[in-house]
Amino acid sequence: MLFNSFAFAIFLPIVFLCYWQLQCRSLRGQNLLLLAASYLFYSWWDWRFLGLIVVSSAVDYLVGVGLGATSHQHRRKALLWTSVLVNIGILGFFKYFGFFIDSFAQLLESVGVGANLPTLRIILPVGISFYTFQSLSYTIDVYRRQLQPTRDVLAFFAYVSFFPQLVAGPIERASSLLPQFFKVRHFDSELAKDGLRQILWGLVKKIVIADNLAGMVESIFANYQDFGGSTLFLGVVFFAIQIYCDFSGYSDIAIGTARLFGFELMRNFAYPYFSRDIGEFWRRWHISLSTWFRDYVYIPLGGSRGVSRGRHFAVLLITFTISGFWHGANWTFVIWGLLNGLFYLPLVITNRHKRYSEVVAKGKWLPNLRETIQIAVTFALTLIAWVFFRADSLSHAIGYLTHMATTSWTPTQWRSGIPYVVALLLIEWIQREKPHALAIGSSPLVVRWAVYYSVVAILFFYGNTGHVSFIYFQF
Amino acid sequence: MDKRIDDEKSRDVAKARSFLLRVSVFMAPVALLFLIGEMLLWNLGENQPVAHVAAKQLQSTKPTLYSRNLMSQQFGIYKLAGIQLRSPEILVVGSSRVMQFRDFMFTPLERSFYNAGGIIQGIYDIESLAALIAEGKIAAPRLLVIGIDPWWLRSDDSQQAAGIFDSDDAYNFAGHVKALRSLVRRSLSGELAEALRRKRQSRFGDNKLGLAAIHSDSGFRNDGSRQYAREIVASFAEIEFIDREDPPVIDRIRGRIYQFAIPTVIDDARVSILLAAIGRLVASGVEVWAVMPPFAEESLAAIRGDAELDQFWNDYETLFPMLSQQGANTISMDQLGVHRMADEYMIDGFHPGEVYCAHFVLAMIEQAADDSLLKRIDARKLRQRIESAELPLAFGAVTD
Repeated sequence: MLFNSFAFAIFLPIVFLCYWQLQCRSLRGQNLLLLAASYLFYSWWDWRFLGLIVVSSAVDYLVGVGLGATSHQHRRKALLWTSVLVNIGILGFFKYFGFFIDSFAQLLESVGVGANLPTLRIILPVGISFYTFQSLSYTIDVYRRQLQPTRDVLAFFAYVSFFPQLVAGPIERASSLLPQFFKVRHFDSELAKDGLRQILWGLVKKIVIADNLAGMVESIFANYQDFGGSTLFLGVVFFAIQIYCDFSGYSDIAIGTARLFGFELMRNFAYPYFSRDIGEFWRRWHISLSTWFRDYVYIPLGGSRGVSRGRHFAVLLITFTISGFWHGANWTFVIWGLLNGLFYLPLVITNRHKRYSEVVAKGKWLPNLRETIQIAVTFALTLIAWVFFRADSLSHAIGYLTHMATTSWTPTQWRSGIPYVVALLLIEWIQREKPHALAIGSSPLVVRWAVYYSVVAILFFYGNTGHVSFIYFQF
Repeated sequence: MDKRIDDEKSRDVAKARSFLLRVSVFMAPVALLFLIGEMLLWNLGENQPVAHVAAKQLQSTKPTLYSRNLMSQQFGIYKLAGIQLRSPEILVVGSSRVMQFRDFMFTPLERSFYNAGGIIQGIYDIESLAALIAEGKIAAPRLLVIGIDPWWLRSDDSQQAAGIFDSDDAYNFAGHVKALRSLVRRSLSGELAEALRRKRQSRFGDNKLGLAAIHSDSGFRNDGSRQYAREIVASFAEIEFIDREDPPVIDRIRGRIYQFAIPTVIDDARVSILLAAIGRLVASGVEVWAVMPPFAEESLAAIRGDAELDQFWNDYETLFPMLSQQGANTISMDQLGVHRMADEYMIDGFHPGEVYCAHFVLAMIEQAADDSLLKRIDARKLRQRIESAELPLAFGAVTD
């Protein structure tokens, strides 16, 4: 079920009403309802793949119980590896089988050995990269004794499949989300109102901005040889905004929806395009994934403490590359990840990667010249990487960049996308110190309602009705 | 302690309900506007499902004109619904170029006639239709007239399909949003008020469905044929050939755009699909007539004047003997002989008018075998009708 569908507009109030009706009965009843609703939400896409979520949940639940029952280190390690192999195995088979077979066949061909390797037409189950990582975080945390294993099977299954963030995150940590299933949730009107505001803003970003830019991006990338440098530049700027609005829009709707049910999810985006360097960008972009890789890949591989500088840099590049590969089974994603690592590396070498933690130009209307240049340079670096992310192949990406750099910059026919970009950046700049751009809870009632009705009107008049799927569903 | 927790829980439920109520109050004006818009759309016939419209046209004894404009037209599913509801014995299929065949041309079998022009936009639509008939999913007609457009055979992957398996936009939330959005814009431009005024004044009255039908008297009649009111009314002023297509057909040919875009080479795979589909229809016991809808002289001359298009046209013509081999009866412009009409009988560069189509029917009757259903048609009456036609483009007044 898509957040931007009529079905979800019916589904959400029904589940909301039933959920709070159960408040007086039992917590288990509420968790059961959430589990049923989540499974229904997922089945709307394809019920057959529900089995994978059940398998992932069941294995990790049992592994958790097992880890709690033994202090024998070998057994604990074996249990952890069971969880890792099952989750990564599911992910690897459904997402990467074809890629590895194809790459291996190409490798054999390049050395003159033709091979007829088996190929399977495997459908990629929606959200598989997200729920397997979320479930895995539980077993790793239990293994590390950072979290007590749970025996509440209902709460655990509901945690893995929680519908607001099931298919595209934020990838929640068990230590943060799971305990929320154990305790009574209270309805907080202010939180719920803000949740609705965040949903509204998420819908604007997705339906109005991302989906309207999607067609232009598709045309420009598919026919890049036909366009001049300015159009190709605009194409990648549009894509940068499209992917941001698509993904952060989903996260906003997810966080807002969770709030309606009394849950707090982690923030996933924090105005990343106003970052002053790549380090800051990665602290503001897909935060739940970046921190997951930091905690479960980067630090276990050695991190930065007690290792040589060489190893530290290698671990950093490996982490970025793996995170690129997580996005999709294509070399383009690998290069995207590696490029970001390479952009990040000089900051680490000069120990300037953690310079900026506060929002840029805090308390001011405009950034100073230095900040403006920093933001522009950072954005330009992300654009280079986004070309690889969006391209169908490495040759496509290189061709696009070459064409952009070598053809003349003439007026472009795709100017109709520019107002979406300008409007987004303007609103987000004004609201950059707030948790989301529609956080107007402190404004007078009349202003608030006027803004809400304006947003509804914008959705109605400018929303793309094509029901474009969320980009991150394919990851 | 328990009582305090219970109280808290009760307060939560009350707060959640009150929250939902506030959201409902906020949404009420939006919902109300939505409802008013939907009622207006229904009144205009815009959001009525096409199957519902097809049924209405079948049941109505009065002429009912249908053409929606705010929602996508979806000829494919509308015409398929018409076929399914009527199970006609005489069925005309093809693109918009066969839409001028009308029921009275087949007297006394007019009640067994249906014009499904628009149901085929490419070769794969013919394949789908043949499969539906062969599999018994739609009743096999006794006589099938199929207009074959040359560009269906081009090896061009961007060809459109009529979308006969699409779902009706009337059942699609996005379709309603798009229609409502257009409705608001038309309201602001005054077009809506004008349409409503015309609807009240029109001779069709309540039997006009869809903004295009109301606004311009153009649309599909009960028998599936299309009334081109604007073109017909315009031709009252001066009887002469005007290429009214936008952009004109002659420009499409010269500019090699739309139907005449490069590549203009016959694709053998598509020919095979067509021949197989026709063979399948013939094997199902259908008397198939493959016709080549005409072009205006100036369009044809432009085609013949371009070396590549000329070759393409020659290849297209070789198709007809192949169709004959599959058991289909064929009729092309050259075969029309004495019936070849002057260009004022053409609506534009490649759409023949009603009178032209009537000549096609006469030619088919003359050429038909003795056991053909066509031999039951009253040719004398049809000739009389042709002779008394008010205009080259149409037999009578717009609302005939």
